[in-house]
Amino acid sequence: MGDRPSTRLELRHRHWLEIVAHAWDGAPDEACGLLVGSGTRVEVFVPCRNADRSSRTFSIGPDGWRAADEAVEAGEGRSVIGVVHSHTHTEAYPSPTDVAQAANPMLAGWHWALVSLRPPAPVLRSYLVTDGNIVEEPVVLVGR
Amino acid sequence: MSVNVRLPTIMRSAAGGMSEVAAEGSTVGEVVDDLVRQFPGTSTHLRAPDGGVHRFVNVYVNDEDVRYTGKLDTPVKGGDTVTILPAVAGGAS
Repeated sequence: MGDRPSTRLELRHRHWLEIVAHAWDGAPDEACGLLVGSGTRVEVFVPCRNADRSSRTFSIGPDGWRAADEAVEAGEGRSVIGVVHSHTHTEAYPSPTDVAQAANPMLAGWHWALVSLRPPAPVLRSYLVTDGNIVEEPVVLVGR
Repeated sequence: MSVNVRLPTIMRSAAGGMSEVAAEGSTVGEVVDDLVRQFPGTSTHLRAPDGGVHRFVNVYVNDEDVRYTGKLDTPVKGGDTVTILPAVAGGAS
């Protein structure tokens, strides 16, 4: 169920821009997407529709998963390695709701990236959430 | 009756690598039972200790979430597509 991560999330600069733009586009609702790649490295950010259409929760439905699976199948050695969602008015840190959902054993080892849209500027951070423990990992930009 | 069960990449290893399989049943519950019969490895992901569907799994019939249409008792008809997904959810609240 996905590759075991080490302690970082590697993104290209364009992924960062795509993620933040998707978060803004989704506001005032929370926005979400899936990270496709290998291990710690994101190769494709897949923006998804928030099936909850909510400013306080998100969920990803069949349409988002189909898009992610197309990205997985388009490249060698890819899998879904994580999820991104926005917190529109709170910090980029996993909420109790996030931690409860991260207990899904099928998502073991996933990167949980969060974007805060709280002023003055968007912030993207990433975490590993294991058995209720939250460990932040660095977000490393690895080129354009 | 036979329905198509679609599985995401993250679950396919438990179903022989298949993205879509045929399963029999007249309700979602029966379809899940048949899937587990055909691919016992899916039980780990799908089955809750009480025999129901694991709380971290979402099931859709033709993209309709069965949590709002009768859960495991949701009827299916021949040719329907049943999609089984790991729940990916959360939020600030």
